[in-house]
Amino acid sequence: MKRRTGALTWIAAPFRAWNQRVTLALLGAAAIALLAVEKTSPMLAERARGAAADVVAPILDLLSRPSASAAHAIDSVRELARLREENAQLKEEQARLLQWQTVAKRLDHENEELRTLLKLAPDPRARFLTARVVGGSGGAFVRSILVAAGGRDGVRKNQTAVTGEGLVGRVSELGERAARILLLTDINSRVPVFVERTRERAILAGDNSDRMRLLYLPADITATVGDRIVTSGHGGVFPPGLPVGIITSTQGGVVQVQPYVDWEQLEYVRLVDYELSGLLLPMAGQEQPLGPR
Amino acid sequence: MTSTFWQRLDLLARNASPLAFTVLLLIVGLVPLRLPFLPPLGINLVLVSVYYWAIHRPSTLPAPALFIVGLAADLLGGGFLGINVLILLLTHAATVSARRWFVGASFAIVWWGYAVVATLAMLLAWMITMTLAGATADVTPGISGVLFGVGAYPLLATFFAHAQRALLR
Repeated sequence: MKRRTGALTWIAAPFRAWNQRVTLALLGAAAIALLAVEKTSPMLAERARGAAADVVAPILDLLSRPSASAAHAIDSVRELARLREENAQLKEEQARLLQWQTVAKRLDHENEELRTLLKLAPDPRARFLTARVVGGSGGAFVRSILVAAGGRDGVRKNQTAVTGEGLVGRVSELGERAARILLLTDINSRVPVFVERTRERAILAGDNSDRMRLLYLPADITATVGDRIVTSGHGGVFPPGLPVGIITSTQGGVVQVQPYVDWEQLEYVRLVDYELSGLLLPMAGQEQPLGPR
Repeated sequence: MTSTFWQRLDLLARNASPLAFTVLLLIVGLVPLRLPFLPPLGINLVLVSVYYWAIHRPSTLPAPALFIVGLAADLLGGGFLGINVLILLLTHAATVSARRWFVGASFAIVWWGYAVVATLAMLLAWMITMTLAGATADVTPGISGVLFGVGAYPLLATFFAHAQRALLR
């Protein structure tokens, strides 16, 4: 009996090793095939990720709650340490903001009156939806977050994600219960913007670091460090005028922008439906909207 | 008959524990921890598990299981599909083939080996990402992720060693 088992192992061992090697080679080839699928038909990969997000969002939602409480606890200890300083700072800021409020009210009023004089077509109304962030970035070279709201809650693809501070990104993948938001800092993110003060147009591109770069700026730019960057609304994905960040350096022709949003503190984001038609090229097979003749 | 069935089930559960730890570390890497100065963890903790078990119990993480874990990491992390699959398969295969230098080696050498493996894996992910995206990506988050994994290695390895003694014998 014992000898027979021995004989079997003697025959089986090389076969098993060979089998394992073939399996490894096949699976490695499958991984490369997946990368090829990603390159050739990104829509397919996108749908798969949307479905996977649906499955795992409830689990992540549950798990992210205690971690959120822990983060809150750490924050409150930190805040306690500099309460007095912060109070003074806030008082000063409030005084400044009250001044701005008066200015804003006056301008709003004036704006409304001028609009009626001009018979300007009103901007479409925006609808809000607030969603909890349940998943962080899945890797060192991806900048995206997962939120616990999806198609059934009224989220649509390419909707704008904002916080009180400014633009976060846009909905890049959509499931029924969850959606993935591509952050501004991802290397696949491109947002049409302009420099608020000088009205110089550019494309804001992420490069996976905490800063973003301005591409396609005119050669003779006058924008300087400290200038605010806002969305321009070109392309129809983002509405115009959303605050994005400020210029932190303009050395060697590379203009770097620091976002207003603090990525570490993202807990809730607002998904805004500006009811923009979206001028992104429709995918093949989708109906093309009729343009004016 | 019944006892052999339960024995088999017991053995199966024990042998599946490395895979369970790996999946658990994958989920930990996905939850937004919102801790200050924490780099994006991504696959780094999973890589520690894959490396450890490739040295100590190579058969407990078969290639199909690694494929599924990698695919889950890709689907849930939002990156390009296939990157993490490739990295986990290659890490496991490379570590298994270099196993004879690590078995019985001092902890420092095994730890150093992990640093090398994790760095190579990160550089591979970096290059694939740039090739597919057609743009340059900043490598700093990758480096900080690797450093975090290397820092976490002694803690996780100690835990795995205890688990190995208790569960796998």
